[in-house]
Amino acid sequence: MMMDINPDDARADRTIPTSDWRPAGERPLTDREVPLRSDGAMAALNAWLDGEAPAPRMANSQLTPEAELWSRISIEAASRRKLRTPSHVAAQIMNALPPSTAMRLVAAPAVHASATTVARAQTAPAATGSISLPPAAIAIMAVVFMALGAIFARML
Amino acid sequence: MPNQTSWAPSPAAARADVPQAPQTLPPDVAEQADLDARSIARVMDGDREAFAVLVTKYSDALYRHALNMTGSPDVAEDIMQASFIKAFSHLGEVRGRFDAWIFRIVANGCKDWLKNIRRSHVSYEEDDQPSHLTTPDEELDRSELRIDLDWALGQLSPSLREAFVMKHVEGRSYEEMADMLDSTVGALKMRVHRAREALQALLEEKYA
Repeated sequence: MMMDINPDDARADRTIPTSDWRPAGERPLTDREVPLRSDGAMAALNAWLDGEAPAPRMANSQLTPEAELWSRISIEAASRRKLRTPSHVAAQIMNALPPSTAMRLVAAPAVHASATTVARAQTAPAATGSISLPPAAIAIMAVVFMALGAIFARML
Repeated sequence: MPNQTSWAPSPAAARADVPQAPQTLPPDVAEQADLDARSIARVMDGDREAFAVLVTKYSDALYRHALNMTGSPDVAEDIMQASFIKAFSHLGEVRGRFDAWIFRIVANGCKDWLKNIRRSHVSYEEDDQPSHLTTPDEELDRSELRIDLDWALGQLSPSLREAFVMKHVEGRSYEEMADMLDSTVGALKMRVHRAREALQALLEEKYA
């Protein structure tokens, strides 16, 4: 599976490829195929669902049929909010991890962080900008540099 | 009687529809960001178990998103696993909040999957397994509306579906959505409105 980790991607506004093999009626609706209705009923519904207005009701104070539908959808949505990850998934992920993570390149404080957060981050190990190397690697590098130095000294 | 407060944000929050990027985080979010930064530092220092803390902390929300975007538990698990492996391998590239970063990896994985499903000659319905909830009771109590809503969500474009799922299923505020998707409140509000209208058009003949 292709995974994209680019956070600045703007694919939200992509449209469905025109090469879609299915008849138009069977293709998923794209953003532009759903024009916003200008009638007051839909606006009232959206205002209610956005928490900006009371629920639209008919003269007899019953919910409109559309509001009734959305109240049912709300119950279904609330039930989906209780979903939990299957218990085996976390272990599965940890077992599938590669041996080591990539070396830290640049550490930057949180973009939207408060001054306090930034100050903490700057003193935290995660944000020092250092490259961590195990002692064995440092020892090997030292030996290599000493050997190179000796070679150059002989050449001179 | 509808329970408005169960899934709609507070009126005050919803009215703040002027596009703007927050310059500071609420204290609890900043605290979580600090905790995540410490976990990341431990992972970078070789403590793999620190990554398990991040997996446990965010897996439920990410799984819900993947499941509601794809409709398939198996696909949702695959996307979760691939996303966390990707995150682990690129942990040194985290900029800003880890939760928003990993969310975008998962969200992109979901949209890629939806795109590939469309390109293949297998329809969504044929390929998809019915979505299920975690408890047997909920599974048995599966309503006709649930099935129809799954079908209707499958008719939406990935971006409309994403907006609807984040707003109504995950219960996020527009401000939070804008923060997670690096977009504006106004643009996301428009997408949610379009998603609602599309869903209503698909479902109202039967239900309204």
